[in-house]
Amino acid sequence: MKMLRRNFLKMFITSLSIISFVKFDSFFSYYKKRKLRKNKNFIWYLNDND
Amino acid sequence: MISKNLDNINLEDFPVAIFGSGPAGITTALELEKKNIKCLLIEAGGEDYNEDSQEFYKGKIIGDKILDLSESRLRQLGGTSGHWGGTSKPLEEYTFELWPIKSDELKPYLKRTCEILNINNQFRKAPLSNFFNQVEFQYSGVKFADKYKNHIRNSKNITLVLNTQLSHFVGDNNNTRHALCISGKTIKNIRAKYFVLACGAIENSRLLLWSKVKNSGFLDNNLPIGKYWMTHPHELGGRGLISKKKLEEKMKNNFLGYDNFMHFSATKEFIIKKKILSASMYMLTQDVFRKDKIIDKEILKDILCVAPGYGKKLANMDFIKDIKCANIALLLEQEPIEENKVVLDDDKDKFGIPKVKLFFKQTELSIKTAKLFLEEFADLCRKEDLGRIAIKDSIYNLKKFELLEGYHQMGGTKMGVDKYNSVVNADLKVHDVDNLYVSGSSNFVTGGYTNPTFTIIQFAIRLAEKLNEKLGSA
Repeated sequence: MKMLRRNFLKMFITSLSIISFVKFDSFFSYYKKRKLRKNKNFIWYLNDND
Repeated sequence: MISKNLDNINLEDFPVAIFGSGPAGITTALELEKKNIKCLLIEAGGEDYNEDSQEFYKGKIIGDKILDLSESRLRQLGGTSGHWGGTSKPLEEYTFELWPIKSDELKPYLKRTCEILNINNQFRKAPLSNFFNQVEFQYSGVKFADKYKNHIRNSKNITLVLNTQLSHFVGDNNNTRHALCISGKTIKNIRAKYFVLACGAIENSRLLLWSKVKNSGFLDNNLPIGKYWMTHPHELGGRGLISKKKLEEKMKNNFLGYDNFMHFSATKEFIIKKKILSASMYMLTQDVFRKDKIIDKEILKDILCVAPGYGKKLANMDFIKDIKCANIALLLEQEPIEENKVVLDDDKDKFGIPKVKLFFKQTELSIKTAKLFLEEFADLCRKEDLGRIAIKDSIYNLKKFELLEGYHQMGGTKMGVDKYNSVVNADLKVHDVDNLYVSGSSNFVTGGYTNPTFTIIQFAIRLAEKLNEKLGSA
């Protein structure tokens, strides 16, 4: 029983870390904050660290 | 054979008479010829461009500004294909949702259409995101007059008569008896088993409306002739820069290429989710809107000015090879509305046929489509660091477009299932008239974002098949 629980926890933690690794990049990019800047007749769509 | 007028032509000899020698008319004539069916092809203009001939195409535009009607159309052999850009692609499947036929019914004619246009039968589509596809167009160099003039001259089945204006159709009891034509100083009646009107989206409406005035009771009063006229709002929508390397990384093996125009279109999911019309954009590396080619420098200066941090990042990239600076042109759908229409004017042309008044207004939905489409693309580029995009302030502020062109004229003889909402049926036959067909983009129910000529030709081939079946069964 203990063995089963240990294996389950191990798999759970491993899969969580993989998911967070895979999703981190897209999660981060999706929430980049939009900054608008006007130049001449155009509105530029930029990230706030641009 | 080609004749300069109707003199010496035996007008009793033809099962099919086609009016208009543009892509629609010539294609149907060529396909009938292959089936050994004789046809009379009537062209109002001459072999070449002529200013006097163009005068007939003058008309009034009421509402929003659009290209002059005598500049956007050509009244000559080959029709408006004499000055088309050749951009070719079938309509998207979802464009047909409101049509009485589905895109599958046009697929058998893809190969032949490509042969006629001398283009590859390759129209790939690659997903960029859930909301965008990169799409492939082909570019045709075919001018119908140049390609087919000699062929028609030597043809035994096609008789092309130039300088002959169709005035109107005469008919009764659901049957067209003859077409009254003016050739030089003579007026002649052309009789045939089947008549095909293929004079372009404005002229088709004008000549049907005039036929209705000249014969009360011939064409049903309910037919919405002239209504639901459309164009493609074609607009300089923005500018920006894109990294080739990052696009390739994102699209992996799907990336279609980078060297010519790069086209992106809205996916069906995007259209449904944001409740917009279909839309596409293309990036132009060279500034075709101005003669000088300083666009790259201008865009780079702009980006350094508004985003110095990003500018520094750019300086570390392999500029020439990797960065594409470009103006962004939009090609949008305009929804068909009843108020956008062709009507007869009180002014008449030299032959006594009323000129046209075109009522045209840009709609809020097409303006909103432009903004949401570009905004989504700009956000995708900055979030995924594919590049940076700027939107023209007039589009951002939802102001009306300054249309670049007005060559894509559609609607006016809309296709549909009944005479209350449409003029022709799925076979392009006018409702309640047994032997009168209309061919061309005037039949389009919606315009999609794609240039119309490819679809016009697919329908023209299909029409020849339908006529062949009719003549066979007769």
